[in-house]
Amino acid sequence: MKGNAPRRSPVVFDAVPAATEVRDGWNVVLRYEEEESIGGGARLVDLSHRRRWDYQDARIGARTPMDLPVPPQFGEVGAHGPLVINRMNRTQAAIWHLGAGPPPAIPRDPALTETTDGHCMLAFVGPGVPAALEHLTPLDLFDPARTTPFLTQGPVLRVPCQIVTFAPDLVVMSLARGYGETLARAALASGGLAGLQIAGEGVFNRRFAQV
Amino acid sequence: MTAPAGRLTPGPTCRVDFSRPLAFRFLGRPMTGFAGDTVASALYANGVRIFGRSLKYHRPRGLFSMEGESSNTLMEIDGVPNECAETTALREGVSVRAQNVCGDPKTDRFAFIDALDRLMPAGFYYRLFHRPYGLWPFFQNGLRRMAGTGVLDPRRELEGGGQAGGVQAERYLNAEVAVIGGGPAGMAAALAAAESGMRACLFERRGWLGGHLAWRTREYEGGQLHSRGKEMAADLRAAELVNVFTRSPVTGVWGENLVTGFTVGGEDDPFREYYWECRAKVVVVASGCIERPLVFDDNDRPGVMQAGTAWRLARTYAVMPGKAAVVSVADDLSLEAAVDLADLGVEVRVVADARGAGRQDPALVTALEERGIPFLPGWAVSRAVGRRRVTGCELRAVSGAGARRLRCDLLVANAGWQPRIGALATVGARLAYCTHTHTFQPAELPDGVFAAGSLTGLRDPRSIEASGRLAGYRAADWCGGTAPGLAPTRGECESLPGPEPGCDIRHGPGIGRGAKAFVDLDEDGTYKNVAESAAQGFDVPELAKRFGGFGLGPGQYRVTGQNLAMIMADLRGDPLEAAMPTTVRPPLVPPSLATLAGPGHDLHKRTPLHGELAARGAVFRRAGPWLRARYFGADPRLAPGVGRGSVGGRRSGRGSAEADRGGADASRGLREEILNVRRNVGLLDSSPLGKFRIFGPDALKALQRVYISDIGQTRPGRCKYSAMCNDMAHVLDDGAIIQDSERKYYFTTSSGRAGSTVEWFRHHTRHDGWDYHLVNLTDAFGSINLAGPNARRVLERVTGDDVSNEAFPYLGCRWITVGGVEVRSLRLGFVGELSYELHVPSSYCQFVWDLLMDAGADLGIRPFGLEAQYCLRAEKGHVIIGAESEARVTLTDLGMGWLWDREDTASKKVGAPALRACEKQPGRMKLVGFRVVEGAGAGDRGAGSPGGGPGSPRDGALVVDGGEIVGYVCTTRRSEVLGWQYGMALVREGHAVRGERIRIREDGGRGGRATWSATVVDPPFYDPAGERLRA
Repeated sequence: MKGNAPRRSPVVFDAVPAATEVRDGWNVVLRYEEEESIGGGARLVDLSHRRRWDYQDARIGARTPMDLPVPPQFGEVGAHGPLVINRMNRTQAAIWHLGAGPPPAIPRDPALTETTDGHCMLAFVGPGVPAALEHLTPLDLFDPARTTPFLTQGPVLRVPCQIVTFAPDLVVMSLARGYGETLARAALASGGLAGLQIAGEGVFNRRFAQV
Repeated sequence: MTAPAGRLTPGPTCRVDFSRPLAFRFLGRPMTGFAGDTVASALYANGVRIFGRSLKYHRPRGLFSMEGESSNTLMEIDGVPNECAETTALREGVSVRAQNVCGDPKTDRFAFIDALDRLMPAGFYYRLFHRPYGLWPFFQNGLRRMAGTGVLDPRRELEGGGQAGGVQAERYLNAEVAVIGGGPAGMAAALAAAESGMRACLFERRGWLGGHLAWRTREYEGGQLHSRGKEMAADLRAAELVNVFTRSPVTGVWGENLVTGFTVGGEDDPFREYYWECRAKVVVVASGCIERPLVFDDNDRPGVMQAGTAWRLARTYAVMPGKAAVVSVADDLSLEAAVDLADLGVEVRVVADARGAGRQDPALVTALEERGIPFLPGWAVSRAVGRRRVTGCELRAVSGAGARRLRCDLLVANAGWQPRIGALATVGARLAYCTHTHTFQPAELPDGVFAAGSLTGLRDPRSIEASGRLAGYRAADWCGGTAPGLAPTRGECESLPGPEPGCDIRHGPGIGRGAKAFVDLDEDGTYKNVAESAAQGFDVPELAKRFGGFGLGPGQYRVTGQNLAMIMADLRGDPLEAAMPTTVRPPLVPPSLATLAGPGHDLHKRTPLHGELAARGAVFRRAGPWLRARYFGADPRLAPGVGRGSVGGRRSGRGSAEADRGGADASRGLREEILNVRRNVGLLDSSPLGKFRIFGPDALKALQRVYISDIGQTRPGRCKYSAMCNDMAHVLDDGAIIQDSERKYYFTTSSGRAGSTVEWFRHHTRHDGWDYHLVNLTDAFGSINLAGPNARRVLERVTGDDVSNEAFPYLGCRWITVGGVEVRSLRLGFVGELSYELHVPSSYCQFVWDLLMDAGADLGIRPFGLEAQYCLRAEKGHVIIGAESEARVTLTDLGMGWLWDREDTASKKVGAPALRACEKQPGRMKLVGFRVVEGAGAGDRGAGSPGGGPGSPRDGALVVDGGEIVGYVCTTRRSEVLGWQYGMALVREGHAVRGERIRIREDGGRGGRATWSATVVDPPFYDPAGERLRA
């Protein structure tokens, strides 16, 4: 029954979906009509429907939540197929399901808290991503001294975010759901100077498959 | 390409595209320029010589520099005043007006002021017109009006006015190396840094790279200098690690090497200007040089210009600067300019060089001879001739002997070159006068800052380029990178020519009083004014700057700075080594105010039901980071007598009939929201309510520490209401705590405290090493408050779970399934009615809301907003932290002492020691309820308004005892259900006695003083037995 109940993303783009798919109650836009007519610049993709978990444990380094090894250092990111685990601090990690297909079965682990509904998740995909993000955040998301993927925690348009840099053309960020709508609009307005445009999930899926 | 009439044949350095004409207007007269022109070059090409009038004397002013170094060419462009015509790109259709002009710039009606200079000595603004002092405002206003240069229309700026519309933006750059200046040194530095693996950002104020190479055609290593510039620019554009920003002046360099500036949009850019800042590990300053003006009589006449100005007019913009020129300079680059101008067709009648014979580049002297141009080493211009424009000049030997008068329409003059020190000064470099280059040079640079290029006194192009390369390698080395080119480049620099000797000429020969020999063009500061300042004791540049206004104009240090320091040293009889520059302050180049303001995105949080509530006519207000629905329909602030604190504003001052009608509608709408909850059922979006999960072996210990109650009594399926205090026992927060299972709890906080709750827990358990974890679920769950006597009937229709009073009693907590969605339901009663607080996963919130609205449609269900909730809970006497509490009152003062677990000392509850200390303290403020019984508004007038009728007391009104203030009203409303005006007030203990009469007073306002009499009563006012919420 719950699977039939419609779910809503915090982000609604002013665009016409060209291809959609209902997944776990979410109406996921795979492609927008506008995508056909625009070039190959940076794209903003709403991934709020992707599942996310918070994991906290005093001995986190010795744990393997969802069979994932926790990266030993803060700011490190482990990419394991469809799942990504970000080490946030001494006791906390975030797990994101970014790959195509359904998420794996979730073990009953009291340290795990599903936070899918608590966050908005946005992906920046394409060759103009660094220039677009320069309009949104003072964070150094493309420090060549760091090994990708890596996690940065800090403000984007002054909103606290978790940001994972997979490559100069692929960045995914997670933020409090309440800010999703206004941040996405502001990102498109400011990032628009660098050609940032919206796209459906397909653009992200194709790029993430190469990671 | 063929040049249009009045223009030179474009050469390889020309930046103007004659195939793209641009129409514009100057003072209403149609003119034509071309793409690539600046406003100034286009005006000059159209024969305009007077661009405006000077600030003080209203003297005609013309094109003097090309980089905005003075206010001569500040103009009103498309209605925006103070735009620099020298650096503003010409666009199609712009309208240009002169500034500081009364009438036509040629025949300005205030031109007579020029003859009154004796009335305006240095510092006159501080000394004249002050006696009698009562007249000063008259003169002050008059002077300021006369000195005004336009009115800035803020709406125009915000709309993206000026030369181009567009959005405002910010840009944040990160690089290891920031390079200021896109000349050969800057480009070489960026290339060297990138070659060493460093990211470099290069900022160039002009629209192109190359610096002085960009317009020079002199032979250089088999080609021409401009070709070398283009070659380097191409290399730079191809360098992957280099980010190049043209049209990007730097406004300052700050601590930790933060470089700030702005980028001006080009014709095809979607922005007019955007602000940027670059956080770099190293800054290379290669900002180059500007000319040092020569101070001589009437050196401000239109037609007197810097060598670079004349040169660039011809080479960059293909505009003939004049027909007959006299050149009076003091360096080789300017001699090169004279030769080139002659080659371009300017009749150069004589070239004077303030340096003595033998100090020039022999090749340039030969070039002058070959062209038949008389050359006068050791001579300089002493006076310009002409009123509205230069018609001739007088040359004298620097030694003072001999004089020659010549006719000319162009007087090219300078005293040599000076470094552009702005960036160095703002970064904290120590500058000292160099007697070799006769410029201020960096004597000490902060860590991570390097200087390069002509700024350091180098003039040889190879030396300049190599110095930049060296700075780039040193920057990379500083960042910890490998810079293999460092050692060889250092050797190369040592083998190349070093800084060249400069010229120490302070002013033109035979200057006399110098009453119209301008040191500062912006503020009309003359040599005579400098002498006056010195004579009155303001004899160091920093003092003279304030007293005489030197360097306080838009050009700041650039035109004035070095000359002021040298002249002042001369007047004091000091050696030049003792000269000190004045302080240069940011912004080095002024951006527009709109650029500084930034894009102004309204970033706020929205609840999962925002769209739904908006569609239902909700009026939103900011509450912390959230946008929340305060009410639906008309604005109840218009309602007569709504409390000041009710919607965050004062009563409307509108007195029209329309306002009265709107107020009545608003009052009715809000009243209906309230009554629907009291009599039927309503829905409130309370999603911003803080929601947390806490788990771990020590979770209970943490809760016991932070909450004032015994949380150990909490049992699964029950809500425990409690409060948090701070160390002074002030109540900070309240909410419900629910035990999910052993070691796992769920609790709520007020919306305002949700953002700081995790830190609050961590702070108060920081020394204990407890093992517990907190997850903020505020955004993960929306919260829908279903309240009213029909709430259960609605809920029963959407869930199969038993929600009867027996199965789900007051203060119970259950997981129920609504439309297949698992919902945590809390049976609370904040508004004093049967209520269910439904915590729904945010993505399902809209779905559940729709189910509830459909289920309650036949019952008349409708949403209500925060204002209605505020009134409903106040009737019930429920406290809102911050509305009925403040820093002087504790938990017990609010009558909430029953929450305190006095027996528990082991948990070290936050606030408990202070509660013990002040529990029996006499004279404390206490929260009381009251009922207004007498005075305006106590009767029928305004009945029905939740905020009370006209003349009713408002939130914040004083409680007085005779003439003494003994408290104040926190909240007061007129209850539709009760039929009387009630409220809560904080009063001194002696007045907090049931049945006590208190006086409420309001002072000021349109109604003057008003008083009311009220009786202290015990809250709750509504349903005191609590039967309704337990129903």
